[in-house]
Formats: sequence, structure tokens, C-alpha cells
Amino acid sequence: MAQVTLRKVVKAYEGGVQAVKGIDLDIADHEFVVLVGPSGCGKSTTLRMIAGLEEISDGEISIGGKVINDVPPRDRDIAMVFQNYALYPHMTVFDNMAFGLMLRKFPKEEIKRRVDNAARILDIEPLLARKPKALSGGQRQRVAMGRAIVRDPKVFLFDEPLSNLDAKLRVQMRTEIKKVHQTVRTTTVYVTHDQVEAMTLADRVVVMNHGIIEQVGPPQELYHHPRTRFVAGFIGSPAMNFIPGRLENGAGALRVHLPNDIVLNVPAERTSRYAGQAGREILFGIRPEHLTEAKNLDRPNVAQLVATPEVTEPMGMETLVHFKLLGAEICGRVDPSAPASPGQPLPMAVDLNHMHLLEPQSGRVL
Amino acid sequence: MSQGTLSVPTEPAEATPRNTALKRLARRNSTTAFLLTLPLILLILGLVIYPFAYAIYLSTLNRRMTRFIGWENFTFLLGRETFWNVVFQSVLFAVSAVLLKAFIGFVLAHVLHALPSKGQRKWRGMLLVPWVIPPAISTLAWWWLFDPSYSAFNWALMGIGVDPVPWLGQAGWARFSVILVNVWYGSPFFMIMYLAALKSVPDQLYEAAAIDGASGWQKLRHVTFPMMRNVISITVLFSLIVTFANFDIVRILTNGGPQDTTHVFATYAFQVGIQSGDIPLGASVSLFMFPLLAIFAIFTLRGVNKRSKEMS
Amino acid sequence: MGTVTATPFVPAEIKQGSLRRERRWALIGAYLALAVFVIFFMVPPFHMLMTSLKSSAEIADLSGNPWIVSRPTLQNYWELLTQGNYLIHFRNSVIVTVCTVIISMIISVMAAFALARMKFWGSATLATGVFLTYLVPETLLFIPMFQIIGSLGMYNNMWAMVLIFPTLTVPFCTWIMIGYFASIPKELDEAALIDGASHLQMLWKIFIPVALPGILAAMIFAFTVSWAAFIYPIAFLVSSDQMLLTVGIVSDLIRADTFQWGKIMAGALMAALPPLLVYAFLMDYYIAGLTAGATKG
Repeated sequence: MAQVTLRKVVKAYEGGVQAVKGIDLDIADHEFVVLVGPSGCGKSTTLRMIAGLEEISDGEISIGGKVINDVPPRDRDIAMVFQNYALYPHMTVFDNMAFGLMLRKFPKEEIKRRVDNAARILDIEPLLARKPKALSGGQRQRVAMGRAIVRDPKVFLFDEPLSNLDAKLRVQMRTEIKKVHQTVRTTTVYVTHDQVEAMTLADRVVVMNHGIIEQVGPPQELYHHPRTRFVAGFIGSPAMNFIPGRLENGAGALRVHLPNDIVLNVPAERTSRYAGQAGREILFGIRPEHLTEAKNLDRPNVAQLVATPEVTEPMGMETLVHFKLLGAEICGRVDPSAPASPGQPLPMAVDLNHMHLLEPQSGRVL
Repeated sequence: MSQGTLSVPTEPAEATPRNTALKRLARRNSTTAFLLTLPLILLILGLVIYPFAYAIYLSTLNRRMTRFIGWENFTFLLGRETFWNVVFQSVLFAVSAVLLKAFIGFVLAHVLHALPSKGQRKWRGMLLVPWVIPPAISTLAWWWLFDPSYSAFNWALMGIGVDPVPWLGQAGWARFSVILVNVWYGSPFFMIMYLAALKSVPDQLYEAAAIDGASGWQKLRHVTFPMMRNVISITVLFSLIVTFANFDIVRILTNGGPQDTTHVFATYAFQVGIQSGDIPLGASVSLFMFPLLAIFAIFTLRGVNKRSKEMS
Repeated sequence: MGTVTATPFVPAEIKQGSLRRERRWALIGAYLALAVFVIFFMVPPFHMLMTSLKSSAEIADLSGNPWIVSRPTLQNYWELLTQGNYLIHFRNSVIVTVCTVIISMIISVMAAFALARMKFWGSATLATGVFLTYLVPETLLFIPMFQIIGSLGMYNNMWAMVLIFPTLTVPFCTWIMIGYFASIPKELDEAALIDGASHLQMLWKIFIPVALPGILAAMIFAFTVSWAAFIYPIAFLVSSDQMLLTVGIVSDLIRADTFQWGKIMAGALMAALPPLLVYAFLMDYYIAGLTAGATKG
């Protein structure tokens, strides 16, 4: 059984700077967990502590129920895929994949069997005799994964493995990684700064920021129910809009007052949730996909509002419109056929079923 | 970094004393590192630092090494005209040879850099030959070229009606000759250093300068020089050290003559210390080189550190 | 080029023509300058070759042209290889150089690996110390070394050279190797660490094969320095059977005032051959090794 457990894990550097500030995390067997966050959030440090490449300053990490704080990397039974592949340039693909087994004194036939098997899974059988220099970026990435697979470790660790690939190959390899995980079912910890990668790959996503975990959950949950402003803004692209406003109790219902005298009625089923906040300053959060051209106005909780776009960006399947609301930059997604052009007032619809209200100071989602 | 952090024995303050196994590992790493560097440390201690300290000790002894005489060897040298000749010639030799080498190297590097890359390799190959032949051996050829009666140079000069030149027989000419041979031997090194530096200047900088309207000279002045300044200073300082401490060329060509006018520190120390058997005095002569060399060395180190910072 | 393209009033064809002409003249000038220097640089080796092919009689004949050989003979080479101690000197040089290269590489590769990858107490100071040691010229230390070698009973013993020459080669070789090792990506040793390699396995199975060009460059440097060393052999070796090439040629072929120039030149040429051959076949490593000091690998 290879669950990974982090208990109050701290990474402190000399001089007292803390890269990771006491995080707790439980990763189940066979699970694919993605650590995501901006650079410097501590996600890579966390991964490297699991790998044993960084010392754990405080707290405890265990793999398969065994505390591994004091165990050197080679005895942790993990395999790691690096951002720039880290293939041994002087060895063939076969030798690269066999190296770890060879050092562990596996019999020759067993090494060959495992390497061939991994090569078949990854579709790199014709490349086994080549040197890394003669491979393309995608092929190198596959070999790096093969090196991890042959070891049949308890845990796979991926450190931004797709960052060095071009956009098209990245999408392709993403699918490949998911497929491999579905085949070998090894517990996986995957680090990336790309929230799309995180959403598409993960069973659960761990959003990190400033050395702490902001939220852990399945991708859909993070998308629909972010718990903090950071998560709300980090997950989803283009990012969620935040508009400062005020929650008022008026005419028997709660209303959100936004700049330019825009007043939106809070959906009835949420009234009790926000009741205590009436009269306070709030941040109104809405994703661009819920701020569209005027449509569905007859449905409940969809309000109209007229905006004048400053810039429009046709994306093909949709058009992004950018406008300003009292200094705040707002982005909406409209149908390409909608009459959106800069400077022309455009009637839009706000889907209040998907709105979020946040506390401005703490950034907590109410 | 990973090994770095693993092997650094200092634990962060809040670490619990529980990390003993990792500490043991860290200690083992330090032991491995120490054992790996031990031969180097022994070599430096035993064959560089100890001899240096020993040289200082020797220089305070009398000729038969039986008595401590303090500064007497140094004051004796400072009172001798020959010694001041040596100082003068060493400085003249090092400064003029290095300046000439730097200039020739710079010109050659530029000329080579301007060639189409196909022919460049061939020319570079030929221009580096003087630097590949051990100087103790190539100087023999120069010695023969400067021979008083058979000099092939004088034969050629006679052909155009010039009187034979006493290459090694007259103080002025002998000084010129040893510098000439040193320039011959050392210019290729400057050339290859500058060429490497020239190649590391991105072409885009020149293209940007060209579009900004810079002339050839302005490009040299505002792009090439600033980009190469560090390499030039490192090479010059390094060459100053080596040239100042030169032995082979002077020893073979003139052995200090005529009348001790071409002696440099090394050959004079050799003559006094080994040939005449006054070891303490010879050690004192060598030690006179030290202050100047130390200054050059510190500046070189600074240049190298700055350069490696720039490169990373 | 910049100034020409920047003047917009000149018609296009003339502009291009003058640009091409300008470039051609620059190229001709470049080749001329190169030719002058190649001649200057090649004169001594050429004259060396010519003299070595002459008989003693032809050398002594003042009426002949010293630059050209009229009746070439291999007699000088033949005599060197069959009589006298030239072959002994050559053999001594080979032995000393091979030993020096091996010792230097072992010491410097091990130390460079530790200095580049295993930061330990004092490692930065040691790395600086290595570079400063490289800048210490041998002419500063040969006199105390003379005493030390004497007290070890190794005076006039070519094995003393094997002991001393590493001081000339190891610091710089270590310096080159630190640069090469430092340029190997950190992820490579992390991957090896996770694959289960110990530090020594990492050095032997990853670092040495990956840094092979650097090792070759360092070896060539050690070879060159050791082959060309002069002051220690001339100070410490007195009997002909212990001498190295750089010293042996002169001391054996100059008896009193008779200079056997033909043989001296033949001997010198053959002594210059090993470095020239290494250079001809491994020019790039040669240059990489000898220029690494300033650019750090």
C-alpha cells in the first residue's frame, strides 16, 4: 500500500525563510494528486522533500505508513520525472531505463523484461538503442517516464514534466501521462504551475500559495466551490472577475450593490447563507463564462447589465470582451455571433447562480 | 543544491534532534568529500605551501646555511647593481612582451574572426603552432637563428645590404631578442583567448548596433571592447605573471648575458642559488618576485570570479 | 556595413557594389595580415627542419643558403636514434609524463567532483586556493624544492619529477574539471540519487563519462605542461641517464664549444612532435583545455 502522508511539514532555509509552512496532506493509494500554484509557492519544495532531495526541517512524511524523514532517496522506493528529463546523455535509452535496476542488482533477464514492458507501454520500443541526443523532446519525456515505470516504485513524482515541451506536444503528453497512470495505477504526485494541466490530470488538486495549502479537492469542486480568493482567481481561465460592492438588505431580499448603480438580487436559496453579512462591503466574484451576451434572461437568477467593451478578442468558438467597471477590469465570454465591438454598448447577462461573494480583507469565500 | 543541503551539517534551528539518520548520512558525505579532496590538500600543503614557507626560512640564513642572518640577504641584494639590473630587465621584459602579445593577439583574433568559418580553422591551426611547441625546444631554434656566425637572419639581411646584427651579443639587441622570442611564443595564446571571447559576443548585438548606425570603429569601441574587457584583463594579468616569472627563454638564449643585462628574476635566482650554490641568496631573489605576483594574482582572481558570474 | 546601409540617398545598385568591393578589400587585407604572421610564426620550425636535414659539412659551409637544404640527409636523425642517450631521454620523458598525467587526473577529478557537488566546510576557500596555486609560477619555488628533494635523497632522480610535476598540473586540471562538473545539470545527479547511486557510483558512472571532453582537455593540458617542463629538470637532474628531453638535447649535444646543430635541431624537432601530433588530432580539446582558465570550462 502506498499512500503518502504529510504531517505539519516545514521547509525552512537558513535565515529563517520558510518555503513550506507546516502543511498536512493525505494521498491515497493509486491516487493522482497534482500540486499547483504560482512559482515560489512551495510546491516543488514539497515534492523534493517527498523525494528526499531536500531535507525536511520539521514535521513528518510517510510513504506506505512508514516515516521516511531519515531515509535516503534511493531507499524511499520512489521514481521521479524531471522538468528537463535528466536523461544520462552517455547512455542509450535502454541503459537509461535500466540504470536504477542495475544499481539495485536485478538479474539481467528481469531488467530486460521490465524495460521492454515499459517501452511497450510508452511506445518507444524502436528507440531503445538510441542516445538521448537523437530523440525529440516528446520522446525524451517518454524515456524519462519509462525510467520511472521500470522501477515499479511505490510513488511516481513528476516535477513540471511538460514545461519544456511546445504547446501542442504538451497536450498530447498530458493525455499520455493520464493513460499511463490508468495502466500502472501507481500513486502519483505531480507538480505544475499550469492550472489546466492540474484540472485535466488530477483526481485531486492541491492549490498552494506562499507555502501553505489553500484548498484540496477534486477539480470540479475547486472550480465550483473555491474557498478562497486565491483559489477562485487561480483556477479557471480567463480568471474570475472580482468587483467590489456592498451587500444590502432591501425590500425583503438581499441585494448586491455594485458600482454604476448596478443592483443584483441574491438568489433566494442563498439568502440564508449570506444573511449575516448584510450591510457589509463584499467582493462580488463572477467567472467570465457566467457573464455572457444577453440570453436566458427569462430564467431565474439571471440579471441583465449593459457594458461597453474596450477590447474584444475573438477566440473562434467564443469572443472575450473586456470592459471597465469603475477601475476594475472585467472580462466576459460571449458568443462569436454576438454584436460585440469596442465602444458599442452590449447588453449582457449575469448568471447569479454561479456568483461568489467574498470577504474583501481575508479573501474568504462566504 | 540537493546534495548541498543534504551534506550541510548545520540543521535549521527548529529541527528536532530526531533527524539522526540523515545527520549520519550528512556526516558520511562530508567524510567522502574530505577523502576525495585529501590528495589535493596534501599536494598543496606539501609541495606548495611548505616550500614557500621553507623559502622564507632559507632566505634568512647565511650562505652555508649555518646561521640566521635576518634581512641580510635582502639588504645585500638591494645594494647590488646587478640586482637592480635584474629588476629593470624583468619589468621591461614582462611589460613590453605582454603589451606586444596582447596587441598582436587582438589583431589576429579580429582578422580570424572576419574570415569565413570554413577557412578559419586551417589558419587558426597554423597560427597556434608556436604555442604548442615546448618553449625550451623552440627556443633552441631561435638560438640557432641568432647564432653569431651562422645566423640565418643575418644572411638574409646581408642579401638586402644590411650589416650583421649582434642578436645576442650586445645588451640592447639581446634584450630585444628575448622579448621577440617571448612574443613569438605567447601571441597565439592571446589570439585564441580573444577569439573565444569574440565568438561569445552575440551577433544580435552587432546587428542592433548596425541598425543604430554604428560604424565599424564604433562597434569595436562600444560593443566589442566592453564585452571583452574582462577576458582582456584576465589574459593580460595571467600573462604578466607567467612572463614575469619566465625562465626557459632567457636561460637558453642568453643565460643572462651579455654582462648580466638580460637576467630576469628566475634566471638570476638559478644562477645565484643553483649554479653558484648560494641557496639562501637564490631563495631571496625568487622571493622578491612574490609581492608583484601576489598583486597580479589577486586581480586575476577577481577578474575570473567576475567573469564566471557574468557567464552564469 | 552599418554606415553604408544607413545612407538612404545612394541608389541601390551602387550601394551594393561598393559594399561588396569593400568587403573584398577587407578580406584581402585579412589574408595578407595572416600570411605575414604565419610566416613569422613558422620561421623557427621551418629553419629547424631545414637544419636537421643538413650534414655537418653543409651547415658549416658559410657560402650556402642557410634557409634551404641542398643535399638532404637523414643522418642526424639516424645518429640520434642509434648512438648516444637521445632515446633514453625520450623514454624518461614518456615515463615521467605518463605518470604525471595519471596522477594529476586521479587527484584532480576526485577533488573537482567533491568541490563542484558536495559543498562542505571550507570548500569555497579550497576552490579559491586551487586557483591561486595555479598562479604560483614554478620559478618561485624551485630553490626550496631543490633542498626538499635533496633531503629526500631524490636529487638527480627522474622520479622526483613525478613527485613535483603534479604541482604544475593538478591545480589547473582541478579548476577545469570543477567547471565541467558544475556545468552538468543538477537534475542528473538527483536522478542518479533516486536511481540508487552512491556518490562514488555517481562520479564513476555519470560524471566521468559525461565530462569526458573536459577530462580529455585536462589530460592534454597535463601532458603539455609535463612534456615542456624545464626548470625542475635542469635544476635537479645532472646525469645523462636521468635527464628529460628538454634538458638532455642541449647538455648531450653541446660538448665544450662544439655545437652539433644538425643533431640539436633534429632532436628538438622529434621532441616537439608528440605535442604537435596531439594538437593536430585533438585541436579542439587542446584549445578548450588551455583556454578554460578564464572562461571556466
